[in-house]
Amino acid sequence: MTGPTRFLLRIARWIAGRRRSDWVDAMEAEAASAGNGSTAWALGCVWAAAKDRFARNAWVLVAVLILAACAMYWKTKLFFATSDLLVHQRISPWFAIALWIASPLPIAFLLGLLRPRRSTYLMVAAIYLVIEFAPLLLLWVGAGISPLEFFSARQVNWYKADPGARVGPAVGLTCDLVVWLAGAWLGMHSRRAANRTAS
Amino acid sequence: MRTRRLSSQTHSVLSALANRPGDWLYGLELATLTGLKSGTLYPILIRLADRALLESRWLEPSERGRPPRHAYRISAGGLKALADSERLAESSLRELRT
Repeated sequence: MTGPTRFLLRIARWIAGRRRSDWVDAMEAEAASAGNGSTAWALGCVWAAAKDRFARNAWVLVAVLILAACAMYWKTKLFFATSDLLVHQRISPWFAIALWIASPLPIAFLLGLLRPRRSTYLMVAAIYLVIEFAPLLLLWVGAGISPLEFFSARQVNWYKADPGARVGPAVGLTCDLVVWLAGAWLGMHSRRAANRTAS
Repeated sequence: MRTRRLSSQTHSVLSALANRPGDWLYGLELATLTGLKSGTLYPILIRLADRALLESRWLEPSERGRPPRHAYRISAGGLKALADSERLAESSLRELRT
């Protein structure tokens, strides 16, 4: 099995949870026999694990969509507020970008605080995926703009803070994910610390 | 239990298993027989196993160094569900014609 295959199967195991670990073992054993198609097989396993998990916990899907909508609203509000300041040169482009990158932190922190479980990371990752990729999908379906446009070599401005500061899509996406996960981690640790102090 | 009309993909998985009733089939074999990708196949297998429409077991690998593989076989309940679903589809078709 190749590295990407193993990595994808690890993600599938994480998504599927302990209750389905036997099934992930089954998928893994088939991936080991799939030869050249093992990575595509493993990618399908990630999709299968997500579908099964959401079918078992439908409320999670609803919560993810509601939270993603809230986070999107908050990010858009913040974006336009800071864009205005940026246009009038009251703040630097890097400061604006730092604010946009950090914007999901309060939501992720709150989620970690309210739900201090490992599965919260999964929830946070799902919200991140919806926020980052749903607009691209909508633009693709609604306006015919290919999602690949946003990842082309010409695209060096993930955060629209031209001129002055440029961040590529890979760096932008990674920063956003790190902030979401870090926010959840901080929330969970704050809750645990508070519980320890109380007991 | 209420007779359910199976989805076309679930039907194709059960049919593939019913065509070889005594054999244990692996996930990869089922994917080849049905043309389904792993992302579609496994949720169906999980659902069928939960409803006891198929049996599953771990088989020792034929090659050394490989992990044991999960294999599937249709159960009596699965055969009945398949027959019921086909009967239901036929009667719906007949109703449409008349």
